[in-house]
Amino acid sequence: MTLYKQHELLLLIPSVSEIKIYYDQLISRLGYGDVALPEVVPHTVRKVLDKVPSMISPQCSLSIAPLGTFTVGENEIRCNSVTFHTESIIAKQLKSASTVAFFVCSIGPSMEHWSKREMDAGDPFHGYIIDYVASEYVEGLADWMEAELDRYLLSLSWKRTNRYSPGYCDWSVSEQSKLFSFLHPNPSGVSLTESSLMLPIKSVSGIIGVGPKAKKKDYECSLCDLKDCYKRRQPPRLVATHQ
Amino acid sequence: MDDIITTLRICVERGKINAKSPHPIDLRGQEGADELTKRALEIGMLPQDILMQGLVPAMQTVGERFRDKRIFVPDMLMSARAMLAGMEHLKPYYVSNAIVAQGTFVIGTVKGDLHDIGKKIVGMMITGAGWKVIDLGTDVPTDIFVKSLQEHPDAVVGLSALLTTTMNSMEETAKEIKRNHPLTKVIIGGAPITHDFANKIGADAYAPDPQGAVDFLNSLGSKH
Repeated sequence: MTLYKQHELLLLIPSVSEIKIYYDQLISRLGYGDVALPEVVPHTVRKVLDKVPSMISPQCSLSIAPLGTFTVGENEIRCNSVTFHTESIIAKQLKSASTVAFFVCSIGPSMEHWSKREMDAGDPFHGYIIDYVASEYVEGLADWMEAELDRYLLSLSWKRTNRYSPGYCDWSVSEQSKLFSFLHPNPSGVSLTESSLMLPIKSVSGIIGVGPKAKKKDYECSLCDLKDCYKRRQPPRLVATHQ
Repeated sequence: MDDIITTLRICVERGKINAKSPHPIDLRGQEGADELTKRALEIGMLPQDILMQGLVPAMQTVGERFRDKRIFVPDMLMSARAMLAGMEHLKPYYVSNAIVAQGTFVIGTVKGDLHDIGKKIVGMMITGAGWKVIDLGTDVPTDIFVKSLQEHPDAVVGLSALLTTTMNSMEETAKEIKRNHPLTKVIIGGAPITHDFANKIGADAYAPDPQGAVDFLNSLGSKH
């Protein structure tokens, strides 16, 4: 795979079966824990999962900035002439990186349209389960992209950090447009609204630090002020490893 | 009569929609909220009583259990679906004034934000509290809220935002509503919203969950 092309957009398109969704984890993230799960929940989740292959069109766009264009400050990172005010949590995590990869992943709009149709038809339960499964798939897609990146980085004897997205770890979502400026227009079919909302909504964007000394550390939720962040509320994802 | 109301409450609390619905297993084959509401009307129960003694207290219980983390979002939505099935039979009585709503609640996701599900869930829970809900949708400009209040001057307004970037829209909308309709109560909610932010923008309340919104509305009495 010719992944490392300076500032060239790479388009990665997995088959749906390559996106690893763990059924048990998906159920556990609904929050029931030791509480008995109503049988209709797993039944509906399975029905929705069965339809996913015909509903989603997963795509990832990725661009790695050339060496020598990336620097890290205390509360910000810079790439070429663009300064990202990431705040300290992310800046600290990226200190070990030589450069950064920018990415956008999306599963397309069909699942969110399906969810809305069910909601509007008076079935909020079904609509919610569809939306929930769609969210899991887009995170699973980002995990798949990271694993693909790992395979490429291995060939360079490079490593990477975790992925970081605008809107989390104190990084303002309003910086989304700066991130998109490092990718082609509408990467993977994703556009930004004036308020920095990605459309389709079931999309993930962010940056990943890469380089020979890049270190992947745990997310530092204890340092972040976003007490109600969904990453903090939910158990960590099991990440599929590609063989 | 009391038996029907008690069973209706149980059906709503447990998400039993109608006789055909397979959930919950132990109620399989039995009537659900749909048939029970219809039958209660047929035997002459007052629509207002079916609402206020059956559907509303059941949804109050559901909201409190969710707030206390004893049930989860899917359970709450199954209950909402059952409640809506019963409410379908009561709709004509709102038109004929045989049912008097607790008040009118105008809800929308503020301009720039397209998140819909949380707002819809809150709207359903407020419907289940006996209020008439006018859902303006998502990405709603300030002037649409203001216009809606001209049509429903006694309404309470609910503003939803899920992005930190659309909190500015929420502030603008809340201030404009208060400027045009100083007596209108405004309640706000959404993932990035806090009690402090509600105070800062002059909103009357912040609801951390759907039941928080219902509790606030209940605290206003039924003059709205």
